[in-house]
Amino acid sequence: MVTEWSQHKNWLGIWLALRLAPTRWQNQQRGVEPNAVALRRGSAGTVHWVRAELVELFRGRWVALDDTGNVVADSDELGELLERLEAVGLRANTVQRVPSADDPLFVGLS
Amino acid sequence: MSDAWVYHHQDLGEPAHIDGSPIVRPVVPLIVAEELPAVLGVLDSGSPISVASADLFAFLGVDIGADDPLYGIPLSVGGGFERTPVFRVRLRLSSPGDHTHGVSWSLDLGARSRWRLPFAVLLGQRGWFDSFPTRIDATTSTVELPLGSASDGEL
Repeated sequence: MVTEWSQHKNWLGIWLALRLAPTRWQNQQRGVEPNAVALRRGSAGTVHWVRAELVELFRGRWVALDDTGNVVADSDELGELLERLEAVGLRANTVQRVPSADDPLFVGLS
Repeated sequence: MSDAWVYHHQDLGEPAHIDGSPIVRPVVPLIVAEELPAVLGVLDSGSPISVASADLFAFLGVDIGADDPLYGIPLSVGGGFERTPVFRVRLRLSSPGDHTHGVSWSLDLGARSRWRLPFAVLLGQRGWFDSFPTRIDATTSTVELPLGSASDGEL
């Protein structure tokens, strides 16, 4: 029994490694490290929203998105992010804040 | 050619409903300055006013610390109440799918500090619905603005 569980654990580890590895590789290819300002230029076009697979990586951050929904810059504060975009001449498509997992649900002003 | 501008509701990454379905918001893209990306405005017909992150106002040409507001309104911020200054500003609504085409309009906008919402602007009755006749259809998750309907600008 102990041997069987041990084998299961090994397979579980291999499965997890395979499951996570492509995501990390894809993020590295996209240059979507938090706090990074990637000097990729977007162009005016269709509005894009943060890609679903990037949401967890940028929770609680303001993000600037390119034309494909990838994050090209991020910051704690909206003003700081816009100033940085303006300063480096980085053209992004859209800016939004990725909500923290524990943010209260907004249902109106009070 | 469509006789309306149609925007689809968007999932902004908020934690999902208890049944697992995503929370989607009626969102429109807004341009505050030519060289900057669009910020997101959420339409809220239940809000009597329009407010935005105070961080936006410098880019709209308003110095919150020095310029006189039109008036102030009390709003809760961070668990307490704070008088929120309201300024007259000009925004541009981007047409669906094209930031280079849009319509500008003037509105009174409250500058709210410590803003933590996933969008930068909340567009309410005064500031949006009094300028744009708007159809929000939750069955199709769309916002529809009939062409020629804007009271200010040329939609």
